[in-house]
Amino acid sequence: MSSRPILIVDDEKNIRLALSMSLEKLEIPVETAASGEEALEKLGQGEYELMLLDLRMPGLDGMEVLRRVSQQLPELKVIIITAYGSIDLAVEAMKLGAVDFLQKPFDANQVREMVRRILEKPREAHGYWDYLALAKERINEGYFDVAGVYAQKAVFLNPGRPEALNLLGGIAESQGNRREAEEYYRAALTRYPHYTAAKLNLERLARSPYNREGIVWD
Amino acid sequence: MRTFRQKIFIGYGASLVLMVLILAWAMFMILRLGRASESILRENYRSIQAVEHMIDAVERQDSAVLLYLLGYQEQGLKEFRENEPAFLQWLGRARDNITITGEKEIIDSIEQSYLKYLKEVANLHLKGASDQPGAVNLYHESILPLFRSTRDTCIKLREINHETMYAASNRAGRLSLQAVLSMAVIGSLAVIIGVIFSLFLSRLISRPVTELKEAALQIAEGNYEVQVPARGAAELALLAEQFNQMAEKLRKYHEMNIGKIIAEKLKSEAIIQSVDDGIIVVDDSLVINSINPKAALIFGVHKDSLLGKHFFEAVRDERLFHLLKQSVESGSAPQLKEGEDIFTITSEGGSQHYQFSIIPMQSQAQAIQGVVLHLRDITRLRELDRLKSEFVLTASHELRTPLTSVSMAVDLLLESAAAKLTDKERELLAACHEDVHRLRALVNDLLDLSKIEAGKLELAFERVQPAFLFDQALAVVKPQAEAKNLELKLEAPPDLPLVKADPNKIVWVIVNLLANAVRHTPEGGHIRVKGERVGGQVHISVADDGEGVPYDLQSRIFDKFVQLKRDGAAGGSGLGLAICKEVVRAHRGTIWLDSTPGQGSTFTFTIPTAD
Repeated sequence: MSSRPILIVDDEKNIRLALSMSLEKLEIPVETAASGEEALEKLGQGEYELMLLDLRMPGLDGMEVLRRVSQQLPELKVIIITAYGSIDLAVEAMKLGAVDFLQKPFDANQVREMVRRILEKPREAHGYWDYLALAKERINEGYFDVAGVYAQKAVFLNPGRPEALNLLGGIAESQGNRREAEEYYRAALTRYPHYTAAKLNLERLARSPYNREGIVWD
Repeated sequence: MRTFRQKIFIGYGASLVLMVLILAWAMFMILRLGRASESILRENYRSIQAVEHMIDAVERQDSAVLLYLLGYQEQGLKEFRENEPAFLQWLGRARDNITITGEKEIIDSIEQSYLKYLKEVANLHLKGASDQPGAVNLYHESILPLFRSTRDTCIKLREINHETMYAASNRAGRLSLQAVLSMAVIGSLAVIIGVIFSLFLSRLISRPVTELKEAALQIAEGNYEVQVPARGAAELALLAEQFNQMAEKLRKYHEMNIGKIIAEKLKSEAIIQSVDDGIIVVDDSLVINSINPKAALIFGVHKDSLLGKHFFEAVRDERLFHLLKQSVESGSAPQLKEGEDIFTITSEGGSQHYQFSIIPMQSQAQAIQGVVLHLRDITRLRELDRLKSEFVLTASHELRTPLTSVSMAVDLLLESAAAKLTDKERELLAACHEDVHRLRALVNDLLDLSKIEAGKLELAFERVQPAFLFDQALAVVKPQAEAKNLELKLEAPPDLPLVKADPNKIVWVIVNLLANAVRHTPEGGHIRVKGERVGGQVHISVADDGEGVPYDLQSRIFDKFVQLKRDGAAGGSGLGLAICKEVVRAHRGTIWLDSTPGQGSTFTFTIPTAD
């Protein structure tokens, strides 16, 4: 595993402490920053493998830090920390280059698992198919909103492929949003006109009476 | 006072007497007529008969005289003598039957001339034997004129009797005419009197009855002041008196009722006007009958300007109008789902929300009298609800950061520091860990519920075997149930239809209900999961024989933060059933509780079948 340190950015002292202590077990050096400004300063001075970044901070907030970092340090992997339920922010952050996101409240094991998983591969390895797999995993667990974030990330990474769009359609349908689902399925078919899953889903969607059962995920 | 019967009897009796009088008069007239004709026949006929015989006798004697003169003296004499007594006998009869003035004188002159005749005939007989020519001469000179005189006088007698007869006949004719005329006059008089009498009588009888009829009609029309004069026959007078009493009682009863009705009306009017909710009362054609100041305020109009107007004219809301109309037509309150009974008015000052209910007014005869529309202002309640939700959301958001650090700190301590602690301290840390997890679950539940309430529940519907749901849920709860030595039983027929559900969410609901049952059932108790098909739904129930739910809590058991207070044992977040309710509702089902405190509880919910 990499010897470069992990940077934890959170305005809450107790979170910083808890995060650094839980990551100590991975035997990776951990540094902390209490604000966006401090984080940028530290990033300018040294090299970091990974940054855990809280989106909600006074002053320079996490999103702004992320925006700057993604331009200046494209190699840095960023995991953002969002509040439970703030899915829109998570999607935006993922599009800005974050590799993953943590929802508060979380526990030590969750953090360690995620950090370990991300550190295992180089940044480039976090590609379309990885997020697609993550999305399917979350769909199977019933966490549609989390799955949606990964699928959005996948689309962002490779807009030319239909699978992630089809997943987004299925997620939208599960959340009761037919119109949005139809748009996603159509988008998937414009990428690959013979993509069976999207075709079947679209056909079922157009059928009367409408039946939400039997979404084809891939 | 005469009775009705007497009156009728007297009335008809009078007519009868009149008829008897007329009859008597007619009989008298007929008798008189008959007597007149009879006397004519008897008296004059006898006289005429006598005269005829006298003429016959005298003519035969004359012939006998001529016979004598012709030389048959013996034969003539004999014939003459034979007829002499006949003449005298009939003369005597005529004398016995003098009925007419002047008749006696005529009979006297007949007698005198006949006696002279007899004398002359005797002279002839003395002379005749010797002196034939002298006898003939004598005959011509004295006998013949005497004979003629006698006969003529007899004829005269006959004439006079004929005349008398004729006169009598004329008199009888006159009498009969007189009888006919008098009968006609008296008869017509009797008829006129009878008719007048009948009219009078019928009026006499019918007038009180007619008065009664008129009075009854008046009462039927609601005029209870009417009184009938007590007159006429005794029975009618009594009837009228009793009728008046009845009318009086009716009037009092009516007044009492009217008083009651007015009091009731005033009462309800006062209630309607004073309540703080909007109330509009419409009749069966949706015309506004009553409206209170609050309702007028709600619709921004003056109260009195709405009375008598059609509902739609006053309140331009199609949905309310249709619901009211439907209620009037069906006679029952419209079935509204939760949340559908809200009526919103948006104005410059913001939105006002009203919860409405529609109550049809039905009389005992099942006729719809009208409908009451009740509007409760829930704007403030809604605002409070919104503020509360906002607060809960913000609070739980704010709770998450410290909770995360506490949670992680405890976890880390348990990982690394546990070895250095005493058993007691480790126990303390474990308790801390347990409660932090409960706190996390609570915060997550709160957020989930907020999302569900905001209509953001994500459901992945599938066609699912209910058996699959039961197995999943039972597997989760089994360890807990075994730890408490509870019997878990599944009662579901193998042919239950597929249901349309998000299996994860429904399993979660069943697990939640089972966990509650495990928590509230003492050791050794029984828990039963049951599935059955009811129409297009599958009913799933979880029953236990635990402590049950107190009655005062039953109606609120599905509300947030409602839970049974128990000593010691760790409870849930108080949100489980609230989330269950929301999940079931998102499946278009319902959930309810049947419970008797001390005997156990049965939670039942429905999900639609897949077909």
